[in-house]
Amino acid sequence: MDEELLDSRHAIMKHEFSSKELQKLFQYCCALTLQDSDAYDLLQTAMEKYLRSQSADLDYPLSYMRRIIRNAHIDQLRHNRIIQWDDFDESNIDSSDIGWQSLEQMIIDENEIENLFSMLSGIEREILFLWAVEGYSVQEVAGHVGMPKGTILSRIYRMRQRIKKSHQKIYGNGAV
Amino acid sequence: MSALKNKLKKEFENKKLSGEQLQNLQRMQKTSLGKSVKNIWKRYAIALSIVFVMTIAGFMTINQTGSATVVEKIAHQVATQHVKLKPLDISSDKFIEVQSYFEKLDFRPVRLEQIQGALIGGRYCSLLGEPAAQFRYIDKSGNEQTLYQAEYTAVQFNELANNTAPETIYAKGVPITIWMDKGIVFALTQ
Repeated sequence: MDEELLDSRHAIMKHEFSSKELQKLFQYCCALTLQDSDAYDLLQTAMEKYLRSQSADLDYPLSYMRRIIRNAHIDQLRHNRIIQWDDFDESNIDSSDIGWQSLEQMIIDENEIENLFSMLSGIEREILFLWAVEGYSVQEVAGHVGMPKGTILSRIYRMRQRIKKSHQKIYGNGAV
Repeated sequence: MSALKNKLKKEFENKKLSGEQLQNLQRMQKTSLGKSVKNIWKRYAIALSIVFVMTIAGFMTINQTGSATVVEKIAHQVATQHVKLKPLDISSDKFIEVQSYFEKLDFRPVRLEQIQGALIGGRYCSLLGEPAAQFRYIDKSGNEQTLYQAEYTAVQFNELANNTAPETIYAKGVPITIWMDKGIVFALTQ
């Protein structure tokens, strides 16, 4: 079918993202991919999908776009066969150790952040982005990434454990 | 040392698209969304044109119907019913019997001596919304003739108030003679 005819049949009034919104989406892509060049490629791919799509969430275009970015990123990971999924066994974890509170208490050195990013997976960086930049609750993150709340808590717990270990290596056992 | 959350926020917010990358993304949006908006307006314009044409056509139809005289309206209705004859309610060659059948009407249908054909029956019908009696006859050539009789009302038949002289007009190729006499409106197909 002719592309223009297809466009006219499904044309809807879509949101046009401002510079500020595009920058925010790029930051989200950076959280997923770690590399700036990969982040730009991902944003471009997602933008093409958004502009081609026959429907759009007109009330929450940023959230809608983030979902497209996320799906495009997962597609790429699946294509490269480097995606990992794990389950969460809440019984092994002290309840005071899970949730944002456990991360809120952490202090980090200026130079540690790059090491931290490289140490974390894409999904973990995404969780941190949604928490630190977007201010999402655990439930909202779970809704956005389409995972059970327990899995998100598991990720947070493991991240904290890893950050703690890395910290202890540098500053000794007394560090948080 | 600073709190993890603040440090992360600062780190993420330091990530910026270059001017060229930003322009490229904005251009993608403008090209694609501009085309969509153009298509939407095109569709609205087509839809509005159709509505406009239909409205004008509707007004013309109403005006044409509205300007028709009562005689023309009766002729059109009688011709339509004559072309597609419905089954008789009563079959009889005796005028009294058929006349008696129309007891639900508020007037008494009358016999017209000038009709040459043989009566075969009748049925209830209407003329411009007024209850009417339809008598059906067969002439010597085997052609059916229909005679309508309805009570004169000023609301429906005002124009016929002085039409005591029969007026013949054609509708759908059928000659129809229409007149009013003694409070009854008559329409006779030839």
